[in-house]
Amino acid sequence: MALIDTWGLALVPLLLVGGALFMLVMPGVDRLALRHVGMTVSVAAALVGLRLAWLASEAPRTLALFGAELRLDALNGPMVVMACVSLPVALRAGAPRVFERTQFYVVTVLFCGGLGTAALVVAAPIVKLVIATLAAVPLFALVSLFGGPQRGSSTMKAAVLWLLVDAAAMAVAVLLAARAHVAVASASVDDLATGAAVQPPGQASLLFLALAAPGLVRLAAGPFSVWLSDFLEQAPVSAAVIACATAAPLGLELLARVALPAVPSGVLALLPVILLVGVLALGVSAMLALAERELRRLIAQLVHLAGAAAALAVMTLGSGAIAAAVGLVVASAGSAMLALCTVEAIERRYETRDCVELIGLGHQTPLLATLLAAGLFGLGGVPLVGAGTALWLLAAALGDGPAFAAAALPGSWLLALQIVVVAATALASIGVATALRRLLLPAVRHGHKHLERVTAAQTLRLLVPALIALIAGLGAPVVVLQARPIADQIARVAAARAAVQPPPAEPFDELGNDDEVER
Amino acid sequence: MTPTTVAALTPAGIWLVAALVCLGLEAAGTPVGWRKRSTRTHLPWVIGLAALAVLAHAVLRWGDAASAATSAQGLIVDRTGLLGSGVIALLVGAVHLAATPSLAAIDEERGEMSAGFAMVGAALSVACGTVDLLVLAAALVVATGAQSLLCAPDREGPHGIEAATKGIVGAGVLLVVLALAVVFAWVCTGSTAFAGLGRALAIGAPGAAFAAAMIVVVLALILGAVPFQQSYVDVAHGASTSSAGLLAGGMLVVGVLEAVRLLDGVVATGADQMLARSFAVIAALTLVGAPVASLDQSRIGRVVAYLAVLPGGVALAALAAGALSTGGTADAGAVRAALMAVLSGGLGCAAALLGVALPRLDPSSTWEDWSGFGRTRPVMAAFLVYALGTLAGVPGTIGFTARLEAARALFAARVDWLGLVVVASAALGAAPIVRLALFLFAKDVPSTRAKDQPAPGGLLLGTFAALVIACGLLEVWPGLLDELVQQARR
Repeated sequence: MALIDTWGLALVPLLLVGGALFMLVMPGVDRLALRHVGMTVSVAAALVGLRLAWLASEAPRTLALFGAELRLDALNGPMVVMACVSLPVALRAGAPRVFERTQFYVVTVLFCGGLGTAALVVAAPIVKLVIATLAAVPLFALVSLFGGPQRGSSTMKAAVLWLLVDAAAMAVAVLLAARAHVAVASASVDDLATGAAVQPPGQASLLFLALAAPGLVRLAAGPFSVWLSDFLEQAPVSAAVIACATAAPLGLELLARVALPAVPSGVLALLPVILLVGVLALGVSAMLALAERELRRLIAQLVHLAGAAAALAVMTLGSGAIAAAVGLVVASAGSAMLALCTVEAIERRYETRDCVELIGLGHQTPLLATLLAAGLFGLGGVPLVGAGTALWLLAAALGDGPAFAAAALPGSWLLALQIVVVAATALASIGVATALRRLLLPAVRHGHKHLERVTAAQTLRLLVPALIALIAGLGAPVVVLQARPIADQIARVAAARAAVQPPPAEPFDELGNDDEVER
Repeated sequence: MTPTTVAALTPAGIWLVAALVCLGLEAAGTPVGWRKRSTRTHLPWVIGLAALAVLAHAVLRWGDAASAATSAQGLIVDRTGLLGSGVIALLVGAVHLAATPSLAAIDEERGEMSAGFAMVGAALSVACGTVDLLVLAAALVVATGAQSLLCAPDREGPHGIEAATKGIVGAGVLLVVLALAVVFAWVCTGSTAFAGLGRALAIGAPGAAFAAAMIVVVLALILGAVPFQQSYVDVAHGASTSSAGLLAGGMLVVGVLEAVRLLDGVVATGADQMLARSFAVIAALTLVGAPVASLDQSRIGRVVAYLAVLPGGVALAALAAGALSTGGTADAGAVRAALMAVLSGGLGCAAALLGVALPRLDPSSTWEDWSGFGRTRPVMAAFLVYALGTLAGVPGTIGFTARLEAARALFAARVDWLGLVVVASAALGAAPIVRLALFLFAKDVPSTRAKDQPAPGGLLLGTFAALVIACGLLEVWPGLLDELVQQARR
């Protein structure tokens, strides 16, 4: 245990990457053995991740490894945990469809997790960006090898977009590091901020946009979500789970830890545009969710909704909103994982993901219908189910101490934003209800009477993501509460750098309210 | 001959001896009762030993070459030149080794082909160690002749004659432009050396700017920089894979080293910023134009040939920063970045062009023909993708490190726009690689492909793997390359 406590920060990524490398050189073994080794490695990494996040919730933990600083705290701790626990689920959920190249499948999934968690815990922003870019390679390899019939075009579209934004962000980060006269590999966010301060003020918005783009694209926020629907439609379930549970948290980390503190004045310059585009994105995704009947695409719209809301929360810079965004991303990852695994199970039995063709599902396999409803409603924003709690916390937090944005925006704008988030959530929930309503109808047109029952083993496998989604949803307020001090620090540093006077710090009670509490 | 001249010409002399031995082995045989086939098996040994001898010469002279010595003939002995001749020796040795199986299939002229490799090595070694336009022109004439010899009798596909023709035409244009530069430089400075040209530029002598502009065009033609890429790309695509690896990689080394020497000559005299602007524009066009053009190609060989242009663009961008230096010396960081780009690019170029030959497909093979190669040979396909990534400078490769160094030099010189282009264009360079990777891994093997497709030769495969692993090791241990280029500029 002492070893984990001391070296655990390095242990999680090294365990996963090392496991992947071991499996690469492992001599020919049957696919069951390969899967078991992969599961063992990923479960071990998840356990170490849980232990570390538990410790980090009490006090931030740092570790210097080969000159690179690794850091885990209450902000990225829950995201690392979600990335870790999603790996065994992703591995297991996608495995039944993989009959060939199992070794490559397992190795790729482990690489996704290893590089993803490494990018989450590395402190140096440029190294973080590089690792995040590399972490995308196995993800796209997974889709291109094991995806649907249109996997090539969807992967190409997504990969080129990701590469472009990552390269632009790296270019800007290297520029800022050079302006601060520090080495690229060791440049900190403070150095980037120093570099940004000596650039002409007119460039701040462009610098911020370039640095924020990798985060926004991974969160699938606003116009940066063009890749998401096709990707989720064509991706194997493992890649889809990893995109929601590893890439999206990484996006939030890049946004909150790199872009925001480095060029906060850029946010101020862009704030009206950000709000306008964000509101449009929320509205469009909610409307599309109303009309969507293909389940994976419906999940994509809901993930887009959550991503846009989280990105908006971070960029409006209320410290409570940043913390709520962390809770939302973690909880929506859990809900998305549950929904994706259930859709996969449904598709394996019924060979379709179309709601109309699945009429009667609720009567024939109530378990699948229930789990699907839980996942989709959680993503859609129904409180106390999955991400719903976090989404509502976020809506509440948007008006909660906008220490920074208040300087640039009238308070009525933030109120309007809260209303839009609530309205979009309600619309999305209606969309989910519309889709699920069909599944509860009696199977008059398409009967599936001779299907096998869902076995106990299959039920158990689906209960794991359900349990994760439930814990993530119920734990979202705790995550928000614990992330609040770190988020507050980020917001205040950003406010100080942008020379905005924040309101005096207000103590908040255990529920995260800003009301004065008696000491 | 002075000791400096002897030292500068030693690598070329070694290659000439190797060429003569190759020709002798080809000519020997029947008159003395030997079997020609058995004598020919010694050809790779001859080239390999010559390469080792040139490398040994570079290592032994390294200490003495800390301070540059220039001869009256415009030859220079310094660490930069030794580094260039060493890399060229590596390239000649490696690609000839890889070419051995295909050379073995040639009934006639095998010795002449090996001699052609040696002659290219000789000419490029001289080109790496000169600061005089006339010597450069002479070296390029020899290199062009040897290049046409290597390209024309190509047995691997239909593009050899085309490559040889385009190579000759391109070289003709290059030599005409170079001749113009020589004439103008001679008229306005009384000398054909880079230093004299720099002095003429500094005092604004009439014709000096035109001569400098012509030299920039010559360098762009050598490097295949956009918009002067046509001949370079045709040779890299049309020649047999091993010849292309040598010609493209070698020309890259020569072009950048000569650009460094021009820079040293011009910056030392405090000449104007024309050179920096020219390099910057050509570099930006290359870094953006080449990958965009490669996406539009239907033949994989041509895609790779366009990507082979990119390291030259990175090096030119770094030198644009170096040209803006004040104080009489080119910025050390910028030149180091350029050298790093050219060394990683030279290795990556040779590796990528050899890797294209691995599946034994038709040289005109298209994206579809490559479908599923990664499914049948995943390790080789992954190595090929990595080699191409090194060329394009994607993260995780030494090419990206070189891009970062170049960008840092540009930011330090306040050429921000070009620095941003250098790093951000890595994504453009990666786009065709992503597309190729998708064809390699995501698509199924076409049913029309012959099931009894021949496996790649062991030597080709081994050389390719060694080059890719070398690129990977340089990325893992970038200090090695950094130390080398730092010493080269001391």
